[in-house]
Amino acid sequence: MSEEFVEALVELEEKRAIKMAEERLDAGEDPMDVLDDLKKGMGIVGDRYAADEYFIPDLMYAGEIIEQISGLLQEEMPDQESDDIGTIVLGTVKDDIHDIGKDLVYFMFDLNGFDVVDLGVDVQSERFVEAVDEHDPEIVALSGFLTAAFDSMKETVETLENEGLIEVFDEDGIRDGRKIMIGGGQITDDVRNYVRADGYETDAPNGVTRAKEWLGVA
Amino acid sequence: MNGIVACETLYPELPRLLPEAEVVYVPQWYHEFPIHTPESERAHELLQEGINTLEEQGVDHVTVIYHDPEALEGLQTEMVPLHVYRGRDCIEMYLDGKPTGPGEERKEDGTYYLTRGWIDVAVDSYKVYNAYAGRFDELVARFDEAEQSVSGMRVSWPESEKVQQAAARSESMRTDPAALLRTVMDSYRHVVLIDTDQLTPFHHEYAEWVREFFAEVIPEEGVRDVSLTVAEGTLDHLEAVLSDPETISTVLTLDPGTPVPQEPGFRTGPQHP
Repeated sequence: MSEEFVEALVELEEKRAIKMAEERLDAGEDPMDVLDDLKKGMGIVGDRYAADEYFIPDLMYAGEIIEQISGLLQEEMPDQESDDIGTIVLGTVKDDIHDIGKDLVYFMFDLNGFDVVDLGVDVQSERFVEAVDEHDPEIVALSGFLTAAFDSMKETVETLENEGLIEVFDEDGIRDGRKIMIGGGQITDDVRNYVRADGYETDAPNGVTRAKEWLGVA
Repeated sequence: MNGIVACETLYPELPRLLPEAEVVYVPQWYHEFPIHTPESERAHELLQEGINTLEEQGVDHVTVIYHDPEALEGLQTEMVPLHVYRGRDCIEMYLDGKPTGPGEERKEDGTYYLTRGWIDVAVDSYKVYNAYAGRFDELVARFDEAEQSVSGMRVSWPESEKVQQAAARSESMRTDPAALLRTVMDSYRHVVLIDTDQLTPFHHEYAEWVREFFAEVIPEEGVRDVSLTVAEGTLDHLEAVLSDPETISTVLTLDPGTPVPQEPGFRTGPQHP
């Protein structure tokens, strides 16, 4: 781990962080180590936002930095799978414009052989319906950072159920077929239950593990 | 004697309406949206400190005007009645006319409103953009110049920690600063400068800078049409809240020692208003 790199990320020193990422990769360092530091740094950025030390433009800035460094890493990392193992429709739900976690999720799922359809941010439930209908994904991943997102996630799940695009829970709380995964800054199992999602994760790599488990390819 | 704890954006109007009142101002940026999410705990502390200060000064009652229901929850006076305004925000308060929005707002869709107070003391997207773009000092200098020539002008937005952090980051940026604000500001097509007889040429100039910002800087696809109009504001709502709070339906009046209850349906955590 490079504490200096993590510090540059946490302090949103864009030029320095990108330069350091480039230098580490040029030196032959394992891109996964750089990715681990990227996740750590962005986790701390999220914590600072939650503590009111950073505000929304800072989160947007962090998202821009993630995107650039992820791009560098992607060039160095061979695809983990040669064929798509599944399709995921991914988006930040209505009334939430944060993409900091969603972009990392996109990166990790794409790297691990998923075909990811990214709907962006502030996505209405109707747009999720269109995308699910069009792309027939195995998993729908809903991202949300604000507590206001919980109701939007719930509404999206209800809309998908009403459209017959996902099954309702059976008496054991299990959903057959297409799954709903949620993630974001303040997600807990209570939120998962409220939203009626099949699972929640607090970081992208665990999200990939769970997705693979659901698809039986772990 | 009246005691008022209020959002600082009301500073130009409050002394006109109640020149004898004792007023404590709380910075706007703790309840600004959409660039910030409400810092309700901090706002609550400052509001309660203000109430305590006014009680020590011997006011007869305290009126709180700060649009953040979570920050208002739990506030209380010890000795005098407390009036808590639970109506619309500082922009809506100056607007007249029939409510048209889904939440009965008077604000029009796609419209960015400015007031004299908002320009002088508030953190807004234009100021944040300039901070990230390395033009913080330049913008502060313009405000300093205006302050020299406008009697009683109060400029506090440069004290915002977030704006200062943004300015500090400008040297290390290679991302276009507009990208950081585009998602939240892209929907604005109109700028309305509300006139409560407090505007100076500087404020008209600032409103034009904001219009240009929405027209030329925010759009990714190129320059777009953004209008700027000056609209007459009303002080009737504010005056009614201050002069006869117990008759106003959007004002909650509490006895000393009674904390402000949670507003029905309100949720904790970062959220939209």
